[in-house]
Amino acid sequence: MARQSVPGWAPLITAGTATLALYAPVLAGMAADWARFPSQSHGFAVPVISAYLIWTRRGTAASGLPDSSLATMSIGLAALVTGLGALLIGSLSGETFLARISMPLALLGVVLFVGGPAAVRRVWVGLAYLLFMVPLPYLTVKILTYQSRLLDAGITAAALRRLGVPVLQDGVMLHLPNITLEVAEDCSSVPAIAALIALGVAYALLRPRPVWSRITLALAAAPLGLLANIARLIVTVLAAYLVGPVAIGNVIHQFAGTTVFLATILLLRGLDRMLTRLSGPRR
Amino acid sequence: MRAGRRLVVVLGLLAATAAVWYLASPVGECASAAALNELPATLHGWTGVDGIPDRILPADPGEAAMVRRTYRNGRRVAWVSVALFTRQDQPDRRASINRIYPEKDVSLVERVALPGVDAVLVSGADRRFLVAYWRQIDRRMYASELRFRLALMRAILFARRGDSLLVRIAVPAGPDGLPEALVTAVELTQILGAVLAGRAGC
Repeated sequence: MARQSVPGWAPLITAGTATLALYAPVLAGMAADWARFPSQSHGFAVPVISAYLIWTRRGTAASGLPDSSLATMSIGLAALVTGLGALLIGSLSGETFLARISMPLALLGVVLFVGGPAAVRRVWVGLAYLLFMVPLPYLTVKILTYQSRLLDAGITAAALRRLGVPVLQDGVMLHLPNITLEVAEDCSSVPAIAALIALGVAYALLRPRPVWSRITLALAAAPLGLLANIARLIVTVLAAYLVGPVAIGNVIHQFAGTTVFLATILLLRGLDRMLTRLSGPRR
Repeated sequence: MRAGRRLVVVLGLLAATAAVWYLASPVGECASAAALNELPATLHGWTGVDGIPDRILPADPGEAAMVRRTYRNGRRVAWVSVALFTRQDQPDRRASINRIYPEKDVSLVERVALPGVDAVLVSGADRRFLVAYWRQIDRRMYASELRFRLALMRAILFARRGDSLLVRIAVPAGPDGLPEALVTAVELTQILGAVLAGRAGC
């Protein structure tokens, strides 16, 4: 049975591999960014998770691939041409985000054109997940990061005042009686937002659960990450006030990204349990 | 259409894309920075001397050429930086958005509305100043980063040219000095815009 399926899948696998080969320089550039920026290092995990998602949804290979209709072939071809056009424009003009984001679209076009809707149903989740490996445009991240720094500083100052700590907020600066602290770029969770969302989506997809539960978990990861980061900031500033500048060197502050990531996983786990309990009686 | 034929179509498209990508003519490099070399030291009553403190307007390692001057007009002072960036089809040769205005020891950066240019008010413990800036490709000024990027993309794709200027004007704005700083920034924007529009290019 498996042998019969090979002719159906072989053109698709060949086309997919050739497309990835064309994108090799783009992938290499992305991998360099993942290695260079800690907030983007989740990019290394994304293709692995994507491959896993495709593998688990591959279905029965023995069924092979039926011929596509003219309409689906046209849509697939249009997606492929659009993806390759974006790759060319992005690569030739140095707009790396455009070139990178075109890859999942080109792959989806290849799958729809060569494999048809049956193949798309099996791989679209994995291909869509590849979007998380594309680093967000830096300008957008920078603007959001600055706004989040102001918000983080404001909430931290308000929380500290509630705890009886005398603190003056001046933009991103927090003036305490014994020290002035800056809510720096590294203190913001925004650069890791893509990683947090990718984490939430992976968490939601990797185990069978109702669709509403999946959507809730996927959407909750980013806000939970922001919440975890603010809690980390409050603890760090409080420690700096009570203990002194030496507290800035603590583990929670030094490994900010890891701390927030672990806290987000724990919060997601808690939310998951709550959702499971909610959905329990319906079964 | 059979799967084999569809595969041939895909491979053909991929090969055509690769051919266009690798056979595209290289982007030209700006040989001379005419606009910068001829920037007058005297501008409508403003007299300039070379040099700007880096903590006011940071220099960018990607600059191919630049002029950095401190201009004075009576008791008014302004710092002007005009930098040329070339071969911007390579992202690491573009102006860094982290170096348009200083970010170290700065507590607050607020957007300020100024006609035709981008502007921010930078506040730190011991300083407060306005930075007005824009990009320029040939004679056209761009205040919006998005419009600039689109114009640059067009220039690189169709003219195979990737040069632009980044013009920055910093004006001190003490505790109550913002209105005066705005007037100065607008005045210098108009003067510099007119001067550079006539000379921009390679």
